[in-house]
Amino acid sequence: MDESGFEAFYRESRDGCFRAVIVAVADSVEAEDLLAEAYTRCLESWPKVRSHPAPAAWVVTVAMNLHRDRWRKARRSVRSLFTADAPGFLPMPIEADLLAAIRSLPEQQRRVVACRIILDLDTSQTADALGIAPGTVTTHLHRALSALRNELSKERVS
Amino acid sequence: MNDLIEFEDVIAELRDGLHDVRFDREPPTRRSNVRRMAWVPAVAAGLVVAFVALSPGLGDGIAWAAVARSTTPDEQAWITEDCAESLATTPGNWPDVLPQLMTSEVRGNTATLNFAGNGWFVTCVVAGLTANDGYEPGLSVVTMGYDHELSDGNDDLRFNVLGLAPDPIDGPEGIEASTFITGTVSDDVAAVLIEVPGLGEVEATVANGWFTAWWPSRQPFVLRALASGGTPITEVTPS
Repeated sequence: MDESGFEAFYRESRDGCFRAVIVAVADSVEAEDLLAEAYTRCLESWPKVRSHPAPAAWVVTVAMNLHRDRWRKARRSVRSLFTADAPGFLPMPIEADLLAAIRSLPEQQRRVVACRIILDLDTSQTADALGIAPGTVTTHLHRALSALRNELSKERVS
Repeated sequence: MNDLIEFEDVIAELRDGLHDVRFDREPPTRRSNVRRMAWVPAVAAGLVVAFVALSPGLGDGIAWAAVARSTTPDEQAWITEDCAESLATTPGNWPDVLPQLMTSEVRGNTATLNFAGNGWFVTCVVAGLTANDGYEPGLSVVTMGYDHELSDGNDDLRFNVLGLAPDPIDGPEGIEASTFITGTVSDDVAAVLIEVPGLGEVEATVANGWFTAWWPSRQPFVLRALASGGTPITEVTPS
């Protein structure tokens, strides 16, 4: 199989994709596993993915879909006992306050923020990636950013 | 981003908070494309059933259809090739050349191709035909049998029923158990309709003396064979 260009794409996109998946699943440990699997699938489908209009969005979408897999959800539940109840037990790459604010958002809002703000896709690309209407993207995004602002200001006050 | 100017403070805080996040793993390497088994047979009388791959659900986000569409030439070509490869690795004393293609159809996100000739038949099913979860679509189920093993029905409609249920461990979530039917029709039969409680009338694909259909239910059903003018020929309730 022709893998040319994959490694360059991987090195260029991996940090941004990781940030997006963290936001989408609100769990940095889970995000790392999901993204590793998503990139493996990306490599296996590289001849197809390389011609995708937004390959990074493809990777993040695969990671988000994997997140919905029952088995992974079960693993996450077990692991979150450690991350939620004993902060610091596992190293966290982002501030706990920010992660808590992200976790307060519904899943679909997190996915929209991940694509629109972190991956910097436009509304139409985000709608395509998530399989929802552009108007729904806009609505979720505004609600998510408003909620994040409230959560973060609460954290600052406390 | 002009429409988000009112949120630029939140966006900046979010991006700043993630700025130092790095994904430090080495690039992945290719692995064998092993797919987990996702379905188990519920009924498979008289058939050899091989689960050669796995896939997402049979519907997989694309609505199941009571009337099937035809496979495209590309779909037909690669499924036939995969089916022939699978045949070569399936245990048993089977002929090593795939017989002639008799019926092919797509319902929802699942393609079913039925090959038959010289007294035996092979049915290949591909679920997740347009999967977008990163897996390439691949064969999910292959069934094989001899014509004389088509055990149910009468001279106008003779068939076997294969029931599938999601694997309780690795099977897809939210997917109903399903029924596949494959069989032969007499020369007089032009259409086969299947009455399924809750789904209504399912129109089987009929061609070259064979018929095929599947539907997302394991409810008891009734088959009706019709002549070209719509005249009823026979009605069968599977045993």
